[in-house]
Amino acid sequence: MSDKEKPGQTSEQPGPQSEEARKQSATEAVVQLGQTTVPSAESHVFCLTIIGQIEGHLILPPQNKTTKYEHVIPQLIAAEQNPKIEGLLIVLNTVGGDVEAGLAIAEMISSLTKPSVALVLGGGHSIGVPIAVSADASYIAETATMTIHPIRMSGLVIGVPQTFDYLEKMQERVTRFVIGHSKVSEQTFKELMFKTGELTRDIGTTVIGQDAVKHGLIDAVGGVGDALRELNRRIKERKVKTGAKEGAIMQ
Amino acid sequence: MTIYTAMPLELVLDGMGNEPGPFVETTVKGMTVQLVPVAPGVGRIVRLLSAPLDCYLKTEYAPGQLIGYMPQDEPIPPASSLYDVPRFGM
Repeated sequence: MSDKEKPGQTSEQPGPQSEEARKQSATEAVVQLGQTTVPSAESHVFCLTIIGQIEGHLILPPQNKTTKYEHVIPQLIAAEQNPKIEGLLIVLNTVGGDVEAGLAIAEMISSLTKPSVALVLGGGHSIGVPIAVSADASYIAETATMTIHPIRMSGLVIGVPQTFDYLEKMQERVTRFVIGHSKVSEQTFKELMFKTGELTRDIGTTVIGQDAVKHGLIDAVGGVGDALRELNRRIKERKVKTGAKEGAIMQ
Repeated sequence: MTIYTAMPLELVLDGMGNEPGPFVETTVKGMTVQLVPVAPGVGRIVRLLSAPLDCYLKTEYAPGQLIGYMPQDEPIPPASSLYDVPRFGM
């Protein structure tokens, strides 16, 4: 929290912006920056988009579109503790990225108490796979793809067995998470990962829409409508459960 | 650090040796942010270094957004206060 914050204003939950203040900040943005954001209607669903490369310990060169994990982690914490947010929709179109950052995001999503639904649009490749399966329910667009391949280091000659062991351990972390959070079996996932003859530059598999569901990676084929419907259903279910619990405590 | 991506690593890491930045660290509306200046007083957000948790949920403070970073909180001192020497009826 900054020193400049006014007393009585908590860092966790500042009060809702008044209509006047909102108008003023919009005008300020137009005057200063020549841009403004579309005023958003109050929503109880927080949409988290994961695009491009997932950036972790290393700042990637600017030609990469990145999702910065140091921004996503506090976002997830804020969404978890904000009483106005009742559920999370995670939209993925990622080509992969940092293993540790990806797994950290996936672990955060899987440990949320609020309902979460993931939707893979376009692609959810490599480290995007554990993120896609980390939500309570997962959907994939019919044309979306997921590339499952081993972790490797480009241009590196593996000269010592320790390097190979290290990469295998990294891979095991990803495999264990995916198996634990989806219906795919270890055997099927490893078969997909080490399949030869499908990818030109690598070993592995590209699964498209229905195939991801068939292998048990993703729950269903669908779009944003299906994902939101499922999320709202889970939100309602949670409300009933918490309402029943509160009722029991009152009695 | 291991990068696990479907994109060729030579494309992802191209230009890795170039120095990133220059970055500016400043406090805007109670948040400490790291910016890349794009015009005088305007910067592109790189990351929020220290901010109230609620700011992370606002799209206007997401990395990549433009933000004005002129010091707004400190009132500009009146010109007369800059002179310590008393003026004698000139």
